[in-house]
Amino acid sequence: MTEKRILIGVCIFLSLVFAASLVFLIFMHTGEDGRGSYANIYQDGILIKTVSLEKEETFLVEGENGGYNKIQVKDGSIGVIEASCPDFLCGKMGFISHGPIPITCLPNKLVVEIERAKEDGAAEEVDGVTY
Amino acid sequence: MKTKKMVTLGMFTAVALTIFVAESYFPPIAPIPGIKMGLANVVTMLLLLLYNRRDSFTVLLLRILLGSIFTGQAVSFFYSLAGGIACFCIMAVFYRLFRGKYSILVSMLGAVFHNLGQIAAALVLLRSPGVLFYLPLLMLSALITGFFTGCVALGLSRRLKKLGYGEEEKEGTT
Amino acid sequence: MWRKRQKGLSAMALFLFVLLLFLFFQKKSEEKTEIYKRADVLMGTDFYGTVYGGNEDVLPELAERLRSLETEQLSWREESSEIGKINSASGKGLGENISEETFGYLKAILDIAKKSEGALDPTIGNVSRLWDFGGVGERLPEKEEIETGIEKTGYEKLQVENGIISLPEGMSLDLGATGKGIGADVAADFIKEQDGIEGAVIALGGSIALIGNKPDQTWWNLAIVNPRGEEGEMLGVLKLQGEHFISTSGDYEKYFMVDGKRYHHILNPHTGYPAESGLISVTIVCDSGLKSDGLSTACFVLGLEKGMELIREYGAEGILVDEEKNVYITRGLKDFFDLKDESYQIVE
Repeated sequence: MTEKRILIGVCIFLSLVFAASLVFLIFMHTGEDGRGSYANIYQDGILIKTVSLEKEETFLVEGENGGYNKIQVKDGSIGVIEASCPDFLCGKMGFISHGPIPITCLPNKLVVEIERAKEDGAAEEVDGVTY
Repeated sequence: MKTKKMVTLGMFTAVALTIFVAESYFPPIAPIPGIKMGLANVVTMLLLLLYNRRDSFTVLLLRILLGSIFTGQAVSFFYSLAGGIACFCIMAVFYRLFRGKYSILVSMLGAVFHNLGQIAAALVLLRSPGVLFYLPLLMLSALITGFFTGCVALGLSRRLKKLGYGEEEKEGTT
Repeated sequence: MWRKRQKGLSAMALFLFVLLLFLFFQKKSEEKTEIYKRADVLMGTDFYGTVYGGNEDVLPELAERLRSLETEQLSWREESSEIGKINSASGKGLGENISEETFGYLKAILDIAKKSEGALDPTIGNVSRLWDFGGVGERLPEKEEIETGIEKTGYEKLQVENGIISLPEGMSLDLGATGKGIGADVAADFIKEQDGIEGAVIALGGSIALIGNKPDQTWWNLAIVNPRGEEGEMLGVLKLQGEHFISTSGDYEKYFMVDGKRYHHILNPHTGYPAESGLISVTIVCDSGLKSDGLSTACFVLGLEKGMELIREYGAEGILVDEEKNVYITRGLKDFFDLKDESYQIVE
């Protein structure tokens, strides 16, 4: 008798595990687009901001001596659209969305990088990129 | 008769090791290095069916120890030990409760706890609750692997019994 | 009876052994190493530092160290830097105020210049300044300008001997091709002087120093950028263990287009124009940052065959990619490179 009860218990447990994982997986899968990737913005070596690439926004990062960079997030990518630097190289680098090469602005000591190692399809974490 | 049994257990250790090492070449089920599906648990189950808990546990420990040395991954040892022991304990208990019946279900339970053990080890080792993110995936994979290892272990034990395995020594049965 | 006891004993011994191992690993894993990261702009390029162990001051101090390396020693843009002083003293010899390190750098660069027959040339300043890749004055120079510029170059005219550096009148040094590599060397030395650091990755604009190992003893995974990918996707992953210096030179890094022609930043010192050797990317792995950076540039200019010879001469390893997307890998790296982009093929 007890054996039967245990059997039913085990079956229920396994079904629950199955159902819960399935629900979670489906839930997570639909949520995946929203999870998206992130960009980290560093100024003078310090992480000042992390932004989701899913949410469109434009913001200003101000540096010393009146230097500034206007950064825009759109269509899952991030780029500099306006800056105080004379050469505007950061803007010429365009928008980045997943690559390992960051946007840098030398005069304002700004680095915009896509958060690494969380890219889909990348099974292993990369410690560095040579280019 | 004892020598024969020792040889047989040695052979099963070799089989378990082969599966264990082969498995480390499989693509990982979750991007946590060292985590395995637990295919080698088929031998743990098989030895429970053929012999007894002690023999099964001995082979399990030997397999994990040697396997981690062979594959050369220290992390893998930790995960395998946690997973293997969790899997063994739950299977031994339910094997006893069911008096040897429903071994496929027992194997599935074992696989689920194997992966739970590994996740627990990952939580301790990596100190990052982020690994729980892979829990559902590991659970689903456990149910599937558990079902298959259970089927294989059951089928194998029936055939091997016909060939006279499991009869080498009865006195050691607990 | 005794047999049974023996069995019990051996089982116990096994358990103890496993337990010991378990405790060993447990103890190791308990000493969890802190990870510190920093992204910055240093030496005219982006800087990434990851340090396993040590303390939070290591990376900021390293950034300071590299900043002073740039301003006090290497930059030709700073007149007060050692290279700046050498440039303004062209025509006269200069021995004072030059640090021993700078002598060492120049000697090592001259060695590569000699062995590559000028494919790497530290005296290219007059020509590289005309192009000013990545700078404000980036443009396609006139043919005459390059011809006059190139007359005032030539590594064989630079003399670094007996504590005196003499550069002929009107010539100018530019260590751009090796600067990041020197930075990687200085960073590696700095990191190794610190206490309690198990491993570190220092990247200066794609020149990388790998130091020590990760706390979990897994291998370093290093991505090489796909030279024809959009936005720097990866060509493949290089797996390395322990200390290495890696640099890549490619035509995709800094370039501009004029009339549909690509002008990239790696100049052939013999012509004064961007090198056209058939290679599009050269990655060098070796035991010094200066060498890996200098060799990758020299090999890019030399082309496949001569480049491979130079790599062999230095006992370095390399991954070279040509225009047909063929990937050539030296023997020592073959087993450690994992090609990810299938539009490329590895050629034996």
